[in-house]
Amino acid sequence: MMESKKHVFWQALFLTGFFFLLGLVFGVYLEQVRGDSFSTSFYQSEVSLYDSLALSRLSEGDLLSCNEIKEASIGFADKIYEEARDLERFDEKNRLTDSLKTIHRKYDLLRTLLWMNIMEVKEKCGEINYIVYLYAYETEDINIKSEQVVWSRLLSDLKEEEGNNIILIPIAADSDLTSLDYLIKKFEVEKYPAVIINGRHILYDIESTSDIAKYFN
Amino acid sequence: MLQTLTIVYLAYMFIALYFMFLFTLTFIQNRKEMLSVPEIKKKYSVSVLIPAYNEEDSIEGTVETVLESDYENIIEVIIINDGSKDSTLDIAKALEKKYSKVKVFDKKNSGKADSLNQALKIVKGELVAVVDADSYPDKHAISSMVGFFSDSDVGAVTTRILVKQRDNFLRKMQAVEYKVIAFTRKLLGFLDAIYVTPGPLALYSKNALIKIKGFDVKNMTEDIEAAWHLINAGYKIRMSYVAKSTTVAPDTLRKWIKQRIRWNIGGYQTILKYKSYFFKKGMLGLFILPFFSISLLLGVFGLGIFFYRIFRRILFSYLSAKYSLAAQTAIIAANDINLNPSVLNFLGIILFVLGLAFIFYALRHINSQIHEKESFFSVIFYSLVYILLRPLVLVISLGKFLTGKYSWR
Repeated sequence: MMESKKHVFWQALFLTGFFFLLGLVFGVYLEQVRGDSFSTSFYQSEVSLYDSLALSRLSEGDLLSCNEIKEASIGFADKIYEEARDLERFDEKNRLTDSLKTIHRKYDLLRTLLWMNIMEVKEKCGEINYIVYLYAYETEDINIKSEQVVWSRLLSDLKEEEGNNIILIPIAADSDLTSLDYLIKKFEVEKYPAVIINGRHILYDIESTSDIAKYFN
Repeated sequence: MLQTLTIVYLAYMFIALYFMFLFTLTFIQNRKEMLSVPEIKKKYSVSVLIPAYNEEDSIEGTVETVLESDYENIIEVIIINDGSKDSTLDIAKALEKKYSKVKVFDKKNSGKADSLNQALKIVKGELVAVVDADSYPDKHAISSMVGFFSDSDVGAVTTRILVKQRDNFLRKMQAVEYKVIAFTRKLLGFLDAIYVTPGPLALYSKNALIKIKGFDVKNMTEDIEAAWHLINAGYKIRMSYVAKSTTVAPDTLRKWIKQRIRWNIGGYQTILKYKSYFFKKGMLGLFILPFFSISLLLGVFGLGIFFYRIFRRILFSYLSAKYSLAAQTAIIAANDINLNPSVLNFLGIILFVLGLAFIFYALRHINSQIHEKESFFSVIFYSLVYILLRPLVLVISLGKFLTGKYSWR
């Protein structure tokens, strides 16, 4: 009698282990599938960035006008802005794997490259308005998180209002990218979230869209 | 890396899945024995003890139901009046005059456990049935339980305890709960792991009770403690699944909370008393203690996580609203609503559906015996809402237990 009882405890443990692992494997697979779909978008964006970089090289030889470069940069920035927003919506729901986090980091690198490119373009053409939004991706601080939600909403509204007049580049500041860390150091950003407007003004406190618009050219 | 909260969720899921499989496998392997009752080889004499404190509304009905039992060898029915302040004693004396088997044992108020211990000294039967004064055993209940004592290792036998009146929503919820408990308790019986001999009807071997020196007067749930004590002393506890005893369940939330606090505090007291047996000495240390403790711990910890999440959510909403107002932007935007489910949501839903299937099956199994029915809505409400009240009461009980603010009445 006792032996058969022990069996049922072990049998239950075996079945639990089996189905639990099956569930985990299924979960990891689902998250990987999500990651794969973003990988495809990422590769496309990567091509767009190289295209944008190539365009700015062409501008050095005066083959292209500032307007053409500006349009290309805005188009690319908008594209990765939307993709990154979708990515983040899935990212926070990925619990078992870090697959989307790696893609997120890659996007941050793309956006850092875009930031660098825009700075060069602005230096040459001087008529671009751009906003770099630096936020803390890994933070658990509820105050910072809520501030970031509002900043994000505010900047989306601003982008909607201003359309092609501004380039919005949101970047996770804690992505551990050397080039990004260098840029953040260069701009002497003290805390996150921080908003850098046209490379000149750094905002830490939330302001209304109309107040932010005053910093534009 | 996995977040701490994800690990906690996964641990909860693993434990829930384990018990689901344990109960399902136990049922599959013993389904033919669910309704079997051992043949009565010896007609043991039975003394029925009915401890009563302020039970003027129900005592007569309880005594008469016991006297209607089809078991022939009930030699005495002792009403123990535990210093009642109402007319319980008068009704008991009238019953004593009316029925030859009924005896009244009047004493000062000292609690249920002490009442039973005092009566134990005067009982004449070989078996002792304890029946709460607001409970009503079936006609066949005692006769279906006596046969289990053919096995000399059996120290106590319990039966299905069901709710007498399902006349309000809270009682309907408790009716579902008691049925699910009865089903799982029978399954625990196959594992030698019945951890309570509930008050509405339990039949004990008098010798076993004497060996464990009766009931623990300091414990708020003498029926849980007695069961653990018997198992610790080497006795088995069995359950007769064919009969039942109905009991009056609390009809208001206030009474319900009071009752559950008493049960939980009794549970904490019992765990503390037997803590040295953890992972030792047969089913008590290897299964009952961990099973009981884990379920209490998971309830308390789970509620802690739930409140922590709610608190963070509220704080987050408050701060976001504050910043939004400062920025003159919308407090909520369509983009903020994220309906993408996580894999944990999927796994949680699967587990919930499995749990629901188990509850429905348990109810179907038990209802087919007693010809009752539960509405679909009751079962869903029980599974989604009523069950969540348990951890809340667990935490209140823990607070009272730790601060010593509790008493039997």
